[in-house]
Amino acid sequence: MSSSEPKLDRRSFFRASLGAVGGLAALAAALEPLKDFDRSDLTLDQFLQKHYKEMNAEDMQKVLDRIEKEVEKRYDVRPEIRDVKPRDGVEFVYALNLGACIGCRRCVHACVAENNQSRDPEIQYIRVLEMPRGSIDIEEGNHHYERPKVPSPDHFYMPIQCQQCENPPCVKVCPVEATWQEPDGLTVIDYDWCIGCRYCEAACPYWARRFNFTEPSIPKDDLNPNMSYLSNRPRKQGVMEKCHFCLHRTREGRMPACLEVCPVGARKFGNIRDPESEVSKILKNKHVFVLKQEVGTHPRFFYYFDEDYGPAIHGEGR
Amino acid sequence: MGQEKTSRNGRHAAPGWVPGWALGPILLVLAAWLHWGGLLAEIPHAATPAFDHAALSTAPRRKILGDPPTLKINDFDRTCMDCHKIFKTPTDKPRPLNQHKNIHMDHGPNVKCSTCHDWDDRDKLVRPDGVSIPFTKVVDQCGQCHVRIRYDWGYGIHGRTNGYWDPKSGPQERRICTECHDPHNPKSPAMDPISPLPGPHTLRLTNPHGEHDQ
Amino acid sequence: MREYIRFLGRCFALSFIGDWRYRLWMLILTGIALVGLHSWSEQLVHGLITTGMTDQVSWGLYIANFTFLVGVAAAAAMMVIPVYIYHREELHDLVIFGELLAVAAIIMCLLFVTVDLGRPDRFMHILWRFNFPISMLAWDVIVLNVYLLLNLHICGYLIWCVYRKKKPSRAFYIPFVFIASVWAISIHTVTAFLYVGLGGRPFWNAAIIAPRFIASAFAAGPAIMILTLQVIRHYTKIKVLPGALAMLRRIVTVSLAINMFLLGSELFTEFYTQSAHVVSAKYLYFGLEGYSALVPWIWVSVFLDSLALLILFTPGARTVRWLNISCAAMIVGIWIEKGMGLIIPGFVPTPLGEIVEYKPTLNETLICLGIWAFGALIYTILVRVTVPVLTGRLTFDKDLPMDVADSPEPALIEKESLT
Repeated sequence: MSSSEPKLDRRSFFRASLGAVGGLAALAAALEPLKDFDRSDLTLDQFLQKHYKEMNAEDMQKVLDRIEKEVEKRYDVRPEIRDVKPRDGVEFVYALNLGACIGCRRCVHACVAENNQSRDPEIQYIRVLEMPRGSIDIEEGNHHYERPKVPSPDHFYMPIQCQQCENPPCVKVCPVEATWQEPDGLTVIDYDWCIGCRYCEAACPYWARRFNFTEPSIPKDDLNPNMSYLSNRPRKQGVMEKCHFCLHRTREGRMPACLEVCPVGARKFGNIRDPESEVSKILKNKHVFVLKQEVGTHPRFFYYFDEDYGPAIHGEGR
Repeated sequence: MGQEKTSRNGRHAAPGWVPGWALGPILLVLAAWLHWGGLLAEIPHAATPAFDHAALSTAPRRKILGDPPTLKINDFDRTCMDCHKIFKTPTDKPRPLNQHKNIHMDHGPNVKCSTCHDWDDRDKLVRPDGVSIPFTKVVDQCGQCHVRIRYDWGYGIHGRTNGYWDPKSGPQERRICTECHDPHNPKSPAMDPISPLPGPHTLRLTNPHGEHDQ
Repeated sequence: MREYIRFLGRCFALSFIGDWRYRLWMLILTGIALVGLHSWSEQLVHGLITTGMTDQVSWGLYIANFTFLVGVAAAAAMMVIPVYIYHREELHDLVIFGELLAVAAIIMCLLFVTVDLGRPDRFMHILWRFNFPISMLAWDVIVLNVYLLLNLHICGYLIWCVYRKKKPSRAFYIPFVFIASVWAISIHTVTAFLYVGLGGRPFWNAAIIAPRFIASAFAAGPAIMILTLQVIRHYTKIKVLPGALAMLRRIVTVSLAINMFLLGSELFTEFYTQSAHVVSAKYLYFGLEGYSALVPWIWVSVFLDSLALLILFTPGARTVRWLNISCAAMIVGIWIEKGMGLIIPGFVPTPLGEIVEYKPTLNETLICLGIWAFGALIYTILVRVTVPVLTGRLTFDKDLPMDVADSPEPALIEKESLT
């Protein structure tokens, strides 16, 4: 038949409390690593911070002030951070002359210097592929070429970064709308909204998106203080980032960092809505193509082969 | 307490491996193990190696000599005509030179100096159609043979544009031909092979035999 | 309301009561779950760099387990259909164990997603800006949570009614049961569409993925049910009739057969045409450019699935023991093929052709084991509470049952043969 309710005698009380103490101690020990947790991100302000698209100028100014203080505290550098808005009548397009590119990777490192990426672990938005002549199949590319001198006569070089697609798969899949396309064609990320699910990284056909697997480390001396909210302000652990065509420069009319450093002038950038711009002329006159056209993303990054400057045909320079 | 534990056969079961009072202490042992350094995570590193940041300069490849071009000879700035007014060169046929030994001629069919240099006024260049032009207008001279490149350059397609893509926002810095190409040996330095900067350092990259690359 | 809180309190107390085997089981699970929690704390501090994931392979063991468990959760509701549509009322009681398994599985899924997030502290962002209906992840959030609520309601309502010695009102649970069984298909299809919708990953961008998900889920889920029902039968007074196991066996056989057929179709499509899309499949089955970490795994999985199917088809192997071997083989085989065999090859090579292999770190593995242990813990507690209620030993007017329920003579069970 039914047995009695547990009698609360000394033995059972002792056993129960020993069990409870043991359980709580084990729980505390399990959670102990959290004492090293960086709580600077868990402020009430950040919790209540709205999505970029819902912030008015006043909200944005408060956020920028907060970021300024954080950066100054962490890097001993007072940044100039602003929220640069897109211009009307501008749609950015990038064109890259594969006949000129020599694979020197200066664009890769100029981008890192400009955009405050983590140096350890290394984050680079641009990846240069060394391709064998005769194929534009990306699978054939070598990412890790190391040569005393480039270009190698039997190869051509293809730098790949975010293509700022017209039909971006990354924007489609983000569950919280942390990434979206701006009116000037740039796909941007609100680093304070991203939850780090990495669905966009899986979705991108060009492997253009990067994730902060740990707190990014930037040497203080290398910090670029000229920042904007959507582009190169220092990111935190657990959020996505990617090439944004240096929007803190380009939305003010300047050239992106990768273009300015290219020693052979292979990179071209501008406003496709302006028929007199360099890129409009290129798209009109040169045989441009895009990567992975069959995926239907309609990239705004065009490649073309102009004259071949390879040493194989023209001979070595002096 | 008198908890009756019966086994399936109805016998009283032995207390078993885990008597009730042991649960607490076992959890305390677990707590101690976790606290004193059990199971710390291993953090890999994949840092960008150091390199000379001078490589990221956006300065032009060549320094041009000005107009008219001057050279420092015995601490004086001399123009071309300072010497050539006195020293009339006898012929413009290709021959071993006593001066200008640093010039390496490799410009295709252009082997004579007078093809580009105005023989009467050495401070000027001469276009293929005979018109004398200053050194800064060298683009017109190169462009009379290299027509397509000159056309592309005019639209910004050839060569590099630094500064602003939007001319209304700021100046566009265009390079003239001689800022990238040595006019006597145009492949250099624009087409000289250069040392690449470091390649990507990927977290957890292994080679096919399972060894880590960094 | 106060009665309900008292009921919950009694359930909590009941979960500590049991014989030494039960307590050992719970202790082990608790220990593993705490170790997993410790590892997750490490991960929260240092970030996902403590896992084996990289920019190249950005989803790993967490999402692999998530995918498998969504299938288990979906299939657990499968038992509903024969019972309510074909009116096999004697199997009625067993439906609830399936629903409880679904609850535990969904909780595990939600935990796996949470530990996979880079910023779990920002989880509430999904409430403020929700990319529905475009993002499949948004769909997944809705369907999984609603499925959890459906199952919690069905089980909770039934158990509460039996506890109160009241007859459950059909209007309060029958419609939900039917909705749940249809919803089960949707949760797994939406999860499949997460992968299928990515044009940049040709290994996933194939129509066969969703049907394969359903087929493998309806093999692995009932297989888990077969094994856990036998455990329940062994340790409690719940009657699990041979007819129940026979019905589950039939479901598993058909589903596994379909799964193997779909596997064959996939292999043919990938390898016959030799187009560029085959690289990921090549990496998985044969290795690519010297990288072959997954090759032994997938072939073991194919072997186990084939073995399981062979056992199920063999006329001589009709005993429960053979069924258990087949189920165990099938569960492991499907876990491999749906987890490591689906998620990882989608990332190797990357869309730019780079090959970076994935190996889970110790920290990552401990978190996964911790979540599995926690899920098992939840399921054990749910069963520990449900069984006394269903057998009438725990009702609102009785005291807590202090001793373990006697189970039928073991000898009878082993010799039973299934028709």
